[in-house]
Amino acid sequence: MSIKKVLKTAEFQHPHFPKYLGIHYTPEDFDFHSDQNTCDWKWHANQNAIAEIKAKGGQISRIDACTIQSHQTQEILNFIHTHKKNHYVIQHFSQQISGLEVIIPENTIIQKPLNLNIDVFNQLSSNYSLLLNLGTNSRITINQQVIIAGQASNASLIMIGSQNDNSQLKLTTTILNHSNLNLVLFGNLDAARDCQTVWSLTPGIHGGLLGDVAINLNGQGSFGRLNVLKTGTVSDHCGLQASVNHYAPHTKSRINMRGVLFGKSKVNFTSIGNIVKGASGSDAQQESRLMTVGETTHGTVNPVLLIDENDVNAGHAASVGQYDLDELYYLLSRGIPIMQARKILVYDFISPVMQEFDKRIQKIITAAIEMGSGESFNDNL
Amino acid sequence: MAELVIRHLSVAVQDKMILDDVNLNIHDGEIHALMGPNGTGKSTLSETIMGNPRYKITDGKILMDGRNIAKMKIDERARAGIFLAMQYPVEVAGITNADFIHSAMNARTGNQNVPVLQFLDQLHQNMEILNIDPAYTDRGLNKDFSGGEKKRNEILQLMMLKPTLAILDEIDSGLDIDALKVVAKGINSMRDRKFSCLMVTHYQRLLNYVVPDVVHIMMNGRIVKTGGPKLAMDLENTGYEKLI
Ligand SMILES: Nc1ncnc2c1ncn2[C@@H]1O[C@H](COP(=O)(O)OP(=O)(O)OP(=O)(O)O)[C@@H](O)[C@H]1O
Ligand SMILES: [Mg+2]
Repeated sequence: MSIKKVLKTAEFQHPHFPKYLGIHYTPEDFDFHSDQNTCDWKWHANQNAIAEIKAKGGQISRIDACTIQSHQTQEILNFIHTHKKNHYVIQHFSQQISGLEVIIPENTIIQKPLNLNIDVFNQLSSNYSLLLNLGTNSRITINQQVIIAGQASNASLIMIGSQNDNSQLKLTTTILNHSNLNLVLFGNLDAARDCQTVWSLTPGIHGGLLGDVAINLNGQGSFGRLNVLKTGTVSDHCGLQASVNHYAPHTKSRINMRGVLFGKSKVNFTSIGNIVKGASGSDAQQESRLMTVGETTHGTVNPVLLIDENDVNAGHAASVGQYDLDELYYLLSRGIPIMQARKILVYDFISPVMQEFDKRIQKIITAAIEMGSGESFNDNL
Repeated sequence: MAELVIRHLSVAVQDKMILDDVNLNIHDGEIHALMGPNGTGKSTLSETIMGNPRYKITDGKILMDGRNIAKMKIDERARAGIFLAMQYPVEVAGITNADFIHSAMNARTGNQNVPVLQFLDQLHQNMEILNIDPAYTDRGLNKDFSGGEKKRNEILQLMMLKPTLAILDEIDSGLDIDALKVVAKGINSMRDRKFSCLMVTHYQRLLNYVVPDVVHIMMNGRIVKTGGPKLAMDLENTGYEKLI
């Protein structure tokens, strides 16, 4: 049965707008105003990585309604089942499906980072899905960049990854858009035993963003790291939840979120470290921080630890605030102009997460900060 | 040239009056020492000259080369030639020591940047004079530097930025005798007709190595006594109370 047909069954009627602790949003903002029947998009990537993947038996293939394969349908249905009450997930897959699948076979190490670019040109609402499949003992680095270039007012992005035993994934996801947009972003990366998963996300969306991303450590000995870097400018609003679920013993996670708020932007971050009963010897640490630079910004961070096991290690650090005025004063006292001094402090603040991205993406982040630095400030110096 | 003239200066912090009618005159090329018990307002005076927004001038004037600097912003004052070596320098991990000093130099030269090789050359020379490990070039600004290393790094900045008026707030505190000699060497290398300096210190020993032209004693927010280098030696023997 096709995904669309499954979604018409009773089970998936009356979904809800998802609720997240500490995240406030207007549900209608993220509703699609029109059903989309064709998605106008294309992808490209660096040839050397594509060649290496193909030579080693891997695949990068386009998914659409005509060509969708049964294992892809199955993966998507599994994802839908875990989000079956989520209005936006149902909305996403009720559209014509479009996206990509990357498959890396077992015992395969891809040396070249895959720089995957997805350009979406839709004028109406658009959806895009990425499926990732890593075989046992495989390894790859993927730098995924989604650019929404059309005039669409809404978009929806879903990432579904699964890693077999002892595989390593380093994934960065950058999202950019040209005109104001409301975007929903969902992602689940499932890791089996002894995996390493590092996912770094920088949603540079102008407009609204609602996101919920998670790494599931399903097998013992796995390690998951989630990095988030968000710069808010003008009147951007962003609610983003990042979680790592420890479902097996001796799993380890790090969540590191940084947000820089310029202008009148609003950012709510929620980070969740979830250790279930039986996941003994696990270690979950998280750090979420927002720097409020702009004149009338609003930011909250909500660190959450859900722990149902005694023998674990868990901790969190959180902060919301301006840069340190003594540091700013020190820089100024050496003659560094105020605009530059502020930027030095912003870069200082984001540097632990910034270094997770490659040079190309760092440039994009830098551009966003340069843009934000042109807006008004609240330090009265 | 750099002449500092302070007239009837009163300063408050959080509505509490700290400096009360301070008068001070530093001529071109002079080095003055400012001494006094804890909490009398020495750092307050130093920070006020630099423009720290915590300190509010309630009365009086600060003139540098005849120009009232009270209205100038902090970075403008710095570019006009004022330098404050702080009692407690802050750490900023995200910029390297070298990039920071280079940026500060470039800010002074306007559009024309100081060429990198020339900059590094000067930097390494001065680091050698100050016995600073070359590895500190690429460390984060003051990041995890020890107290003494931070002080030497302040003097390194002084030597690189070549201000015309330097205020050194307890540059000698926490230094062992070898480090003190090194720091003194750095300060003395700046001595020039065009370099004026106010050194805040608690210890006469610094003044053995950097001999001041004038010594002031501050108590309770006022300069209560002014004299030559001998004043500091007398102080060492008698203490503040007997002196006034
Ligand atoms: N930022 C501030 N906030 C509140 N009070 C302050 C501040 N700075 C200084 N003061 C107060 O002003 C007075 C003078 O302090 P200042 O630091 O100028 O003294 P000082 O002479 O430099 O002392 P020390 O020799 O201990 O460094 C003290 O009573 C101090 O508590
Ligand atoms: Mg002091």
